Amino acid sequence: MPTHLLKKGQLQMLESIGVIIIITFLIFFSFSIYQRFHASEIARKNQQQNQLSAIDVANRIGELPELQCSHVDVVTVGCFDLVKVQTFAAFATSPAFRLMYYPLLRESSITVYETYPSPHNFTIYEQNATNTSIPFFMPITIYHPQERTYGFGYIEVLKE
Amino acid sequence: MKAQMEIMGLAVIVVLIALGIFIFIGLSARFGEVNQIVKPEAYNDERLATTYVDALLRTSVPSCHALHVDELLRDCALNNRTCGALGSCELVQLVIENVTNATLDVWGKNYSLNVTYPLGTKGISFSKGPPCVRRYGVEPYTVRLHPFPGDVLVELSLCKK
Repeated sequence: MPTHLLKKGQLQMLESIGVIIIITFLIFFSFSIYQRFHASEIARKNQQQNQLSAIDVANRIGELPELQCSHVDVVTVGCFDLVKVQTFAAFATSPAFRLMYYPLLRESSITVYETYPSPHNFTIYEQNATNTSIPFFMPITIYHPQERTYGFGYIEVLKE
Repeated sequence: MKAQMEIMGLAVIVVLIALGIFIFIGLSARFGEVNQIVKPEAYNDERLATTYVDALLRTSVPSCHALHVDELLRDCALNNRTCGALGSCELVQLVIENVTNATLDVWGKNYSLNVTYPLGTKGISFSKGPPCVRRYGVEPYTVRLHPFPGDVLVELSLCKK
């Protein structure tokens, strides 16, 4: 049927359909933008949560008497005793040991590095952590009880 | 009938605009809230700047009677005695360079570490990356040279991303 012969009612119907199509398009468009924004927001929050957990784990590990330097019951803050670290690391692969520390350290990987004077490292805890997470570093001094000297090192915490 | 339809259309438009305004206000309030919270990475770097210098100054130098870095800085400012093949000033500079190369450089941080001596002794300065536009404000660590001639200042600044 030619356009000029369309009745007024049909024209109004076409108009309404057009409006409905445009509104539907706008709704879907806004929804997709919101979804995209929301997904990136969730990923960012997740990453922040992981970093907060890593900080929490680093604080807990720093407070463990099993690793801290102490002299006549006086604790040195930010210092790990090398002998204690070596002993802790020797048990790190034992399932019973991991089970014991799991409530405290959860899914994480904790490595103690000494960078000066003699570079070496000890993995003291490892439980299902991924290498893709952002590591948290906490500088510490490492006490060598036999020589009574301090080395420079750090703790690296990776969270799942 | 036509007038009623037009009023309905107007009402729909008003409802849509109101909805848009509510969504906008909701999102901007949420963003404001997020920006006010201290971000973990900011906390990390601020804390790192403090604990790093603290640990560095307590480190012993085996090639110089196991003196700590802060003791070497003190000696450099006052006497610059020879320790092995090097003077305490050169030795402490070498130790700090070794430590920063193995840590801050490896971690990919942009930083500047400055040691300032009193009485015109040449200071130590290490940095990586362009000068910081914004930095984590940490007070310089003071090594006292009591009673004279002043203090050695050790300052580590980590650049904000």
